[in-house]
Amino acid sequence: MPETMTLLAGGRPLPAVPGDTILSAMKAADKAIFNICGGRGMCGTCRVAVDEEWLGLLPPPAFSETRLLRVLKAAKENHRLACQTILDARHDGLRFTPDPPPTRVLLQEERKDECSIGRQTGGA
Amino acid sequence: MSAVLEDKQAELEAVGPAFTKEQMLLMRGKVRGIINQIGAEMKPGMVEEDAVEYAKNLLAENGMVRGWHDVYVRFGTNTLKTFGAASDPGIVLKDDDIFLIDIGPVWEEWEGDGGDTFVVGDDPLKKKCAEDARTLFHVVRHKWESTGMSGKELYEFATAEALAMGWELNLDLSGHRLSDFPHAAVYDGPMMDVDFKPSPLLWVLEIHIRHPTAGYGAFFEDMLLDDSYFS
Repeated sequence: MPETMTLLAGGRPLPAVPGDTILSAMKAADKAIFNICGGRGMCGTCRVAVDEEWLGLLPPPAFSETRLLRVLKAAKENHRLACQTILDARHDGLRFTPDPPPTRVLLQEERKDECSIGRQTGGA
Repeated sequence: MSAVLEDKQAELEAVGPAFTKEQMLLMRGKVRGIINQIGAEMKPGMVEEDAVEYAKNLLAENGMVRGWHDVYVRFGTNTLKTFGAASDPGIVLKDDDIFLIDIGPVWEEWEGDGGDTFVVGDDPLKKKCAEDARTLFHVVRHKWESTGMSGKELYEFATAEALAMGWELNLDLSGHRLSDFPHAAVYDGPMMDVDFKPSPLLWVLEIHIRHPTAGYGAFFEDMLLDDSYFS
């Protein structure tokens, strides 16, 4: 079993060791990846698309992971959660593509309107 | 308020394109309803892990498979655990016991978050603990409504009030933003760290009190809103 292996994250090399999750490998290498729920398999923001030829070598997703993946937008069969995908020595060379980070358009003026509910007295 | 602080508030209170008052309040209603449903189903003899599974399934049945944080149902001594901490395994709900619920589901584009504490049996101190968490929440919320206190000042006030009531306030749970998903892309820090008065609808107030020695605590969490939303 190799001490280290190299994955390809969006085409770029990513070091990992057996026992890592894809998420922990990304975080250890300071690669940008969202994980809003802290890697609990709840939010789906660490979703990755695994290259088809590698899917058969991954452990099958748990029911909870499958249930979440199905409700995410643009769900595909090769999607997995990086936080739930545990790597072993067979995954040296695994290719995957992380989801882009959630986009957020800041609507400052609309915010002021929407927040004007309730009574605020004695404001600072 | 200084222009710098105004800018900071505008930055930390930004929302995304899906944010609407109506949807945030709808989500709040879903969260409060699910919390009460979970609470009503907990019976002495249940194991905490089964309770968490029940809660997750109930959320899923109601279209809330996704969460921006994990689902917490904590029994007995696990009510002392802070946010994110793993529960001690295998804790069974006893005949006279206390348990708390903390959920943070995402429904379509909107985040919810809420918590509450329930008691089974007749232990008066545990009942008082659960009730005091709710009472302190509203005491602090009224202070927010009636003054210009910042998030930091509100939690200083809450800490003193909790102490006067005989509890320790856990400041690991000290309020945060809520929005269309994900608020964490705007600000994922605690409300306790902000130096301005938090705006309504955009923040949740968290109160986690713990008995200094008795081995249990209580939690209450809801959005910062005025009295008319708490009838």
